[in-house]
Amino acid sequence: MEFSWQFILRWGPFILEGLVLTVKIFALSAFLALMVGTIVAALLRLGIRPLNALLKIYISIFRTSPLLVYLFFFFYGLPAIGVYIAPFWCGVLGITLNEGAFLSEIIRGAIQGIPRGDWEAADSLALSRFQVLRFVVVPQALRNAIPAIAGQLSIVMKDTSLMSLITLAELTYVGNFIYDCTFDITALFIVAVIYIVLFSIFNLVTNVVESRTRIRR
Amino acid sequence: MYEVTVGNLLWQLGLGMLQTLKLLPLCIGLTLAFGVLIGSLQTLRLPLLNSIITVYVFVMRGVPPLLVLMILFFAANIADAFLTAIIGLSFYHTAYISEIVRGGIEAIPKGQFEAAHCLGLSTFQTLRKVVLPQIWYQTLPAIAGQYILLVKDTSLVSVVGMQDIMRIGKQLMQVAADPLIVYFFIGVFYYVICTSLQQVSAQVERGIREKYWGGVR
Repeated sequence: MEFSWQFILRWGPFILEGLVLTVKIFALSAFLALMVGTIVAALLRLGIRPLNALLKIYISIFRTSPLLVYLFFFFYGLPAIGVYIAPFWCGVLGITLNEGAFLSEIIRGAIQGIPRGDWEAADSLALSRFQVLRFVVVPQALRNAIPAIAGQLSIVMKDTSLMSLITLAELTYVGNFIYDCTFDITALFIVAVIYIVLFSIFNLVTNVVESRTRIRR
Repeated sequence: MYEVTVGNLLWQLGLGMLQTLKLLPLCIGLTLAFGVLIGSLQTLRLPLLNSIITVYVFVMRGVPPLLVLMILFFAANIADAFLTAIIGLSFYHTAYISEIVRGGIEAIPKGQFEAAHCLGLSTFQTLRKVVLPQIWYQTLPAIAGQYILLVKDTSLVSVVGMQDIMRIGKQLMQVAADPLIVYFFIGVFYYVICTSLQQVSAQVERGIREKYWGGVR
């Protein structure tokens, strides 16, 4: 293993392309997972029996099986019954469903942490059940849950590395590919450093968001 | 091309399942031992060691487990796939467990450390006899959650060449079996392991509660 500028010049463009794809998958699936998590947590709060049972099943299934199994299920399994999804969307779908289940549990916990008085105050202002969630409870819950949500989203970032196993050329795939071409482990270390930098940037953004949304009393 | 019966399929998957199950106790034991060790070392605030541990934890939080396994596989060149998988997974998850243990130790009131000091206990004795027995009740849910993630990460060990359930599933699929059914059974397998782990954790939690608080809390 040796580090040289030649190596960077030769393989840099590949790594850059992988980085762009990783960030793309991360941004899209993090956004969608957050949407799914919030909606599922809010729906659970509406208290419709059959719906609740369905959502509970969804959460318990997706929380207790590895993402990789779902990716392979979508990627290899669905074409067997004639449903073809592009690898990119397989990945996004898998992460969204999987992490959506985790995020919904986090947000559900945060919703439970909202004091009863807020619900009662909203009720006495004659807001409907949906309006209470939409305007009073969920915004507060999301703000309180920012650290936990950020932790889960950093796991989403790591989940994007599994896309390499369903033939998407993101960072891990590129690192592995360069190793196959050169038998030089440097590429994998460079990829690791890029992941750490991404993680640090994500942490900084989280801190900014957290301090911006903090209530000043 | 020959037909794979369901019985045949289950038998083959069962063989892979044994490989996956063989990983778990060793990984859980190793991560717990090293996690407690590293977590307690970090609360001692030794100058150099502390920064090394901090960097280690930060790196492990930033890098995907798949990449950790790949780097270990290509760089360390360990002949045995089983050993590589154990080292990789334990190395990755020890960082998280040590953070949980550190959090648990830091949540113990300062007065207890002072009281132990007054009784003439050494630092080691304080940790061993006073502090560590108390942290389990608080940290158990977090540790159980981490072990569920560990179980799910065992689905990655096929990249280092282990004949685990994912690898066997892929091979079966390539021979003749319906991928939909194969991945359904694999999903069920992980679901069963993770839910039973949750049950065990709940049992242990109840056990601790009854032992220390006589079931009051």
